[in-house]
Amino acid sequence: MHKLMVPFGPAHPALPEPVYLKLFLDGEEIEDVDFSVGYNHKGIEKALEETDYFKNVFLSGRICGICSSAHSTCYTLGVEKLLNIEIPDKAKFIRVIVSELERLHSHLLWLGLLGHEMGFDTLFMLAFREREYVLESLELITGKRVVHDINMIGGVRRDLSHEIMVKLVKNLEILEGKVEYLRKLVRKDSLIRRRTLRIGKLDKRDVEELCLVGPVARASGVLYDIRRADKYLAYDDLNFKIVTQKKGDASARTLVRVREMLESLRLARLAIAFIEPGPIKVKPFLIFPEKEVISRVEAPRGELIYYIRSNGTDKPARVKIRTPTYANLISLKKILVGHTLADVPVAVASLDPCLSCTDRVTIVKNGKEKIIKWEDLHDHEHH
Amino acid sequence: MLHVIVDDYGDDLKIAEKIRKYCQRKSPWIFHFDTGSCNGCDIELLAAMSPKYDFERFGCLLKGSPRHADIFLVTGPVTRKCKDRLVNLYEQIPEPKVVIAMGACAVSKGIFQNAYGVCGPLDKIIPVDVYISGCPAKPEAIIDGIRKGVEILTRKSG
Repeated sequence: MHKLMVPFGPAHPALPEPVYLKLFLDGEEIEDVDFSVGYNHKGIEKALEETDYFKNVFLSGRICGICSSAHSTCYTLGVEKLLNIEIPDKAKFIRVIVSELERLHSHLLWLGLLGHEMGFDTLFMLAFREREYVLESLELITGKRVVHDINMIGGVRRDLSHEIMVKLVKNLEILEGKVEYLRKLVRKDSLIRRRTLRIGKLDKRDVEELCLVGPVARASGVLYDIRRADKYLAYDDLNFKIVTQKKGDASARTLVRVREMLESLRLARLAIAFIEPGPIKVKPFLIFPEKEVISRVEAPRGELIYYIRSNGTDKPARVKIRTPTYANLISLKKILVGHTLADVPVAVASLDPCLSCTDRVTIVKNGKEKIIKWEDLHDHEHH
Repeated sequence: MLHVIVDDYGDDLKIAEKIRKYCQRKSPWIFHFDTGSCNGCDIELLAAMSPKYDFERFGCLLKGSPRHADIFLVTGPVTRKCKDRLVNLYEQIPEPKVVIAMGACAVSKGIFQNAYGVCGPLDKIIPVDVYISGCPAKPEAIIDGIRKGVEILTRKSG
């Protein structure tokens, strides 16, 4: 039978970001998937090598606007390991609060987009209305709504005053009720259930074979969370549950994320209760030893790894970033094959792809160095 | 409200033109394209659509096709791979059109000055009418920028 190739993207209404999917169809069923990314490739890893450690905090925060403080936390944790400094407790808790609020805003944003993909725009509006409380709280703490820039090497930039904490606790209390409502909605609403049940199924073995991370892995029953595995920042002192589900389809991923929101809320409130007056930063000793470090954090989408190598100067010799979407995107074929074309937006959205931090250039050819001109690279992508 | 009294069939075209101008002023449709931004601006654009800010009350709608759009809203510092698509999309938007550069990256490449994959800023590639600054731009600023864009659109359509 004649197979049809349907292009999906790069500028597709169902995708906020440019990605190019080639869907090979048999009738309405998807037989094969190919994808091309790289529309967002800016070359940040190289740019990180050309700027000094302190300015890089801001650049790393702008790798992804949605999980910006996860990136800058991971980067600062790495550099602090490199410099061998311990940050004050208060700074740790402030970082935890910002990270958890960021997870909350990211998951709410994702829930809204999922609603939008399945044509349920009311859910989009609901999720975005509740998300404003989170952004308000983040603005109270950091002074910015989206890209927070709260981290600096050796601590945090801004202190949490008593008034802010009071307002914050109030905001979080309001949010708890709202998120609880969303959880009920996701569990009970027949429209959401019908569009997500049995879509994009990944069982535990698939997840382990493909090395998937974050909520996608946890929705298939893999108990893996860097907050528990690495115990970075103050997560050792805070008591929290890791949310898992067994089914591994889009509905399980939705439930994991929604329940994670409640857990993040609880964590943020717990961290506020733990805060004691004290310094928020230490002055780092400005000699960078020749060393390589790896730091990991649990970003809203999963495990985020930074590898930093220093050569003794004030600029890093190499920064390698492995982002969660980069790990999760390979499951796209497994998720889409066998479904109909109409399920593509929901199945892709259930992965929560964030492409601005994913796009890479890798050229490997017989282990030899090769210079490729821009025109050749341009041709290359079409084949 | 627009009152159109059709008494002369020869004026059909004139009336259609009048309706078009009115609709463009009262309900500008926006096409958003991400040229490698960090998503910060994109989610603020979505937040501007949400109930708190709600730019749909000005008749603005986010549209999926460039052929339906009056306003071309671009975020990001323009990566090399996006450049050709950007020009392609720009050419598909019917005249009169307004281009809005949103966020520090689209305005001036922002923090990505040193990045090799970036060939922006936007106004080096296509003509820009409105600049919205901020990293990322706040929803209030976005609404203000769109309002200014509509003013320019009205002037352009004559």
